[in-house]
Amino acid sequence: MIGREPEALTPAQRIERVLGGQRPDRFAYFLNAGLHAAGLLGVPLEDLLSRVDLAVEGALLVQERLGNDLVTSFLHAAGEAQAFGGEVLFFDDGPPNAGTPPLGLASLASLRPPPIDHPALALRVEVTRALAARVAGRIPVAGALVAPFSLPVMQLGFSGWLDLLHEAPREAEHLIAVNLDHCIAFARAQLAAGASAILAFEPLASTQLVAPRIFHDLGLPALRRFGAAIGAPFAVSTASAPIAAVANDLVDAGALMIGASDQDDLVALEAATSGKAVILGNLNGLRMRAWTPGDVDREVRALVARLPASGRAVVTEHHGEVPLAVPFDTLVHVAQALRRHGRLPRRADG
Amino acid sequence: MTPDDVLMAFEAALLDADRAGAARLLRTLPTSAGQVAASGALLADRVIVPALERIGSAFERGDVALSQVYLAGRICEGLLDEIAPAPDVTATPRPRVGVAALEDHHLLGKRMVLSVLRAAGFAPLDLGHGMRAAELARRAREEQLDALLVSALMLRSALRVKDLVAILAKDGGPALPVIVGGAPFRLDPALAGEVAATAWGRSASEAPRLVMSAIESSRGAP
Ligand code: B12
Repeated sequence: MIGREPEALTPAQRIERVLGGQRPDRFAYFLNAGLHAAGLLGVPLEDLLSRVDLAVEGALLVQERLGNDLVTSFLHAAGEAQAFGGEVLFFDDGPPNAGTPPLGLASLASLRPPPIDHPALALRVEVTRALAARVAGRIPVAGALVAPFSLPVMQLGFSGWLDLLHEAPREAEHLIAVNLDHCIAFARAQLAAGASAILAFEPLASTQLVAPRIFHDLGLPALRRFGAAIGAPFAVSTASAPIAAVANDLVDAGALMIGASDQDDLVALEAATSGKAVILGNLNGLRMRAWTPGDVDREVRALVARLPASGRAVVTEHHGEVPLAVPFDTLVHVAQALRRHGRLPRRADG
Repeated sequence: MTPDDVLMAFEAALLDADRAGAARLLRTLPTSAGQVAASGALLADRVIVPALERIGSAFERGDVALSQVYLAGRICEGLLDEIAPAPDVTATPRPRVGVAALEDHHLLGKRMVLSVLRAAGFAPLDLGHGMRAAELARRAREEQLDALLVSALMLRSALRVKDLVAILAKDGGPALPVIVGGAPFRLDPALAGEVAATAWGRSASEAPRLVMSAIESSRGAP
């Protein structure tokens, strides 16, 4: 149990240093193997992702096995579409997906944010509360949500959202405003339940997905208001799409943490944000499926060499969650290698 | 305007999502470039497909956004019918192709591939989404496809292509190229080989070219 090995700092102390700009004892890491917890507990994925008790036991078991510096109450993105009337499709060998998009142009005018006690949202808030009670003060709990400008992909479908942005910008703006209210309420509920930071998934901020002008006009102002309203540290992740081109704007909008894709150059990213942001990233989980222990060692060394020498980083999978097809043992090796090679200050030879 | 100028201006109009401008440019072609626009398929081959391919390459380089690739394809799919609605007898017949999202409910990739193929003068069959490998293989045979294109966004769906290819190899039918694409293939370039796909593309814009070369090499094969 890597998580039981004695270390100089607790995960909470380490993360506090990372966020506060002080060098930690080693690079912090969070290998989010949320889906793997079902196998570890011997329960169906759907149960793990629908029950507070199983979700909490699963998250704690993964933390103990991998020694992660964070735990999260994130379960799946589709739940947030469910809160707006969508359905969730479960699978036994991968994450659930949002089904048919619940909204259309006609439903937008009267759209209101879902009540915060909607079962899909309450589940996540209750997982946050139960997790925080179990790890209180020892391991920080990260809350999560899909941010206002990307949530419409599940609400309207991706093409429906792109069509709306181009053909009905006022309705698009209205939907973002509703989503902003929802995101603020959902973030506040998670924070009140004991989360210490919020991971906001905003992949459509990536210039790979949406033309920059549109995000700047519509998405960025909403993120800025989101940050101001929640009054807690938040991260912006583009779910493995390149982020460098917008990173500085995101930091300017209040993001303390930036999720880097494996296509981003970490050194350039640090420079682009003048070292102000904590970098999250950037292991590519899809490629990790084939890693041998030798690959793990080589990849982890290479990653550690790319990370800021200041230690202002948390090693994560670049999308946030490790695919179920990655063997859990590979993650154990990654955790061991991170502890071996990730000590700070970094030795000159890496 | 030379045909090259038209191509550049057409591409710029697509990147600006300027449908009217793009249509106007295509209409100028018959006068500025003689007979080029006489045939819809030639228009597709000489202007629309090259423009979409250039936009696709720009996407691969990170210079244009996926939203622009999508809108460009959407604009183009209607243009051909509008400008050259007459059926084409002179052009080489397009192969019969189908597009599906295998056990996947994310439809933008499939939608983009369909748009690009239509814009290129194909009449692709939309085989839908959420199907299992065996069912999709059966549908592909029923429709007597020359090539099957599969878009996947989730890894679990992408991995199912392996079952699809295995079923198609054993069902006694003629060789059927399976061309794949979608985020997991872009993020793990080893994946397409792992699932034994005939070919894969980083951008939907590559679909027409991939189809033609896959069919050519499968016909060339013993
Ligand atoms: C935006 C995004 C989101 C958004 C919106 C998702 C959506 N579409 O519904 C949000 C934040 C909601 C989200 C949530 C999730 N996501 Co997400 N997301 C992304 C992201 C950044 C882009 C996905 C996208 O829709 N792109 C648009 C499509 C059209 O792009 P594309 O498939 O790449 O298509 C291009 C080419 O590949 C090509 N192409 C596509 N098909 C074909 C076919 C052929 C034949 C050819 C030639 C070409 C071709 O053409 C297009 C360009 O021209 C990707 C990562 C990435 N870097 O791309 C992850 C990604 C798709 N997400 C992923 C996952 C896991 C999820 C979740 C399941 C997470 C969770 N546990 O809840 C949920 C599922 C949500 C749902 N809808 O049910 C994984 C999927 C792989 C895996 N691990 O299984 C990805 C790949 C991230 C990763 N690196 O692992 N996500």
